[in-house]
Amino acid sequence: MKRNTLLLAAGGLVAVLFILLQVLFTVREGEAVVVTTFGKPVRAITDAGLYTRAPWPVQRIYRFDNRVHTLEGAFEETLTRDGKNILVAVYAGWRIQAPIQFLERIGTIEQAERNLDALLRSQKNAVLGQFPFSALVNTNTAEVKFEQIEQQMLTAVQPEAANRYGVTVQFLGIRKIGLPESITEKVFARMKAEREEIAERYRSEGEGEAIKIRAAADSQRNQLLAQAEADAKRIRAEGDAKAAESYQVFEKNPELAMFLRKLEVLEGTLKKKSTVVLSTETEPFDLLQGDKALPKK
Amino acid sequence: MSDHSTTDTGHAALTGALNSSFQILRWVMVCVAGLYFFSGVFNVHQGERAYVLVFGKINGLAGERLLEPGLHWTWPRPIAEIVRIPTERVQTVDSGTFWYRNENQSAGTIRPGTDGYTLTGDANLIHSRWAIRYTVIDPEIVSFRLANLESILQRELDHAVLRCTARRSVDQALRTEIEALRGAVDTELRHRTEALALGIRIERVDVLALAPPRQVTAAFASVIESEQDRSSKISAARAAASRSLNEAAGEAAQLQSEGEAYRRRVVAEVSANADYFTKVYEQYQKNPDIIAQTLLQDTLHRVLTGVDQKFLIHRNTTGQQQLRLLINPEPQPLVVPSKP
Repeated sequence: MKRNTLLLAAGGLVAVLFILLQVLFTVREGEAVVVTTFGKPVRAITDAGLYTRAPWPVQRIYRFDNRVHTLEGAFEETLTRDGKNILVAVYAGWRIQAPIQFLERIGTIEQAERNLDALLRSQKNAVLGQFPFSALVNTNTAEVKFEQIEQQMLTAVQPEAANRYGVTVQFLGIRKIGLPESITEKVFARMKAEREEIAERYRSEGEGEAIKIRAAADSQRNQLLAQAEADAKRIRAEGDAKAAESYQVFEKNPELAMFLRKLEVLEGTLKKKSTVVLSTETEPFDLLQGDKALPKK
Repeated sequence: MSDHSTTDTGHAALTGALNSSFQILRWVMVCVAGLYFFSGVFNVHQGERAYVLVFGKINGLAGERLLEPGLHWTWPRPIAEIVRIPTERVQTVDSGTFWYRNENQSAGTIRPGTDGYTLTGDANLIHSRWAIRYTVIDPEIVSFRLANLESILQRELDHAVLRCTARRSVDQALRTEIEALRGAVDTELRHRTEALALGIRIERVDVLALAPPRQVTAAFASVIESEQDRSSKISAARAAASRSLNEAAGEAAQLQSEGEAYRRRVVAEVSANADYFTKVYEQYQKNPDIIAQTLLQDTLHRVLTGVDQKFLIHRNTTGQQQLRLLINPEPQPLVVPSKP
């Protein structure tokens, strides 16, 4: 009896589990589920949790990743308004907005990306055709219209993506801009020419700047020396003026002053290695004349 | 009778075996139930957080959903699921979209899709490689709202680089405003990730490499060389100017110093002469002739003592004097008599 109870309990548990698996299902965070009844979508669930359904084959569930996916369009040629042929790649972030519509129109994430890629390409060409090349690439930032171009593309893509495929395009941007291969060769030739011009300009600027610096230094040097000479002259003049004040004392006896000055000059002039020729009439050599030199009584 | 006995014995053995099997099965079921229960124990490591999804839905109230590092328990699968998210660790996303890939490139062109590049504002081409360092600040968004955060970030980084490069000249992008370009990309990316609510915080955007296309590398090197040449010429001129000015300053100081010395010397000399005159004048007033003669004789004595050659000429009887001097006579050439 005890064995039978245990067997019944185990069997009942297995049966309950089987039934639960048939009628219960979970929706995970970031997931969207569509429930179909005999193939017809009847319910879309985007909130995570535990739900019930009629067992297969009455009802069936389809699960989709409801998170934001990124899609990148092809890097391909397009024409700007001014006829420039450029390559542009656009990317977009999208997610499922209406799961039932998505199931009916698209069915898979891969197919959705193929359809969105075509839509992006079409709108990219249409919008870029309204802007000149300078709206994408320009050193004058006021003329660059990136935001406007991207906003126009997004505005054009969003309603179509929602209405046709049940997805919402949340953001969009230009990822790459390029030039056709044949154009790059010409760009390189221009870049080389520009570089050569800049190099030559730098060289001549260096020489010119060096000459300017040297000339300025010479001018400053001359000015400095002229000022210094003027200062020195002024200082010497001050000395002479100061000395002249002392000359007043010589006015007491100018002859004596000149006599003393002559003595000083004589002493200062005749140094060693001099040859002097004197007459015996010059004092004190007049003593050599004998009696003539004797003092008178 | 013996057949009955044999049957009972077999039945009893079978019953005993079944009882033993049920006992074992019961214990096995208890063990399995226990193991299942304890398999819900899990550890959240440092640098990560975890969510528990119960029947697919995040477990817990708002603010308590994110599990901190430590030991936790939840219902095992299929009831619950653990989702781990690295949060504190700074993560990196690199982008080589605009870098070249063909190492042996020798052609004069760039093939689209093979080598990446961006267009500068003056319609030149440059290569660049970038990286973002970021931290997850809202794991719920990163885990359950975005299919591939890295893919989005890589594209947003490329988008920001493209926009910022397209506004700058090639010289600004490659040489003069590299940091400004990096800062602009950083700012652009921060605004964009905040606007898109990606649940991350950009720590920093780094420019890993910047280069001109290899087809024009030599031309760019020539510019750098000429710039160096310009700098060296200017530096040399500045050095020469500095040297010249320093020398001039020295000469100016010397001139002023000489003037100053002259002034002091002249004033001192004249002052000394005046003092000397004053003293002599006092004595001179008393006896002018003797003082004058004495001064003269003393001076002649001092002067002539130091003179090397002295000639005294005596007037002859006719009263005439004649002195002939040969100054710097030229030496006569030495004539060697020839031998007979």
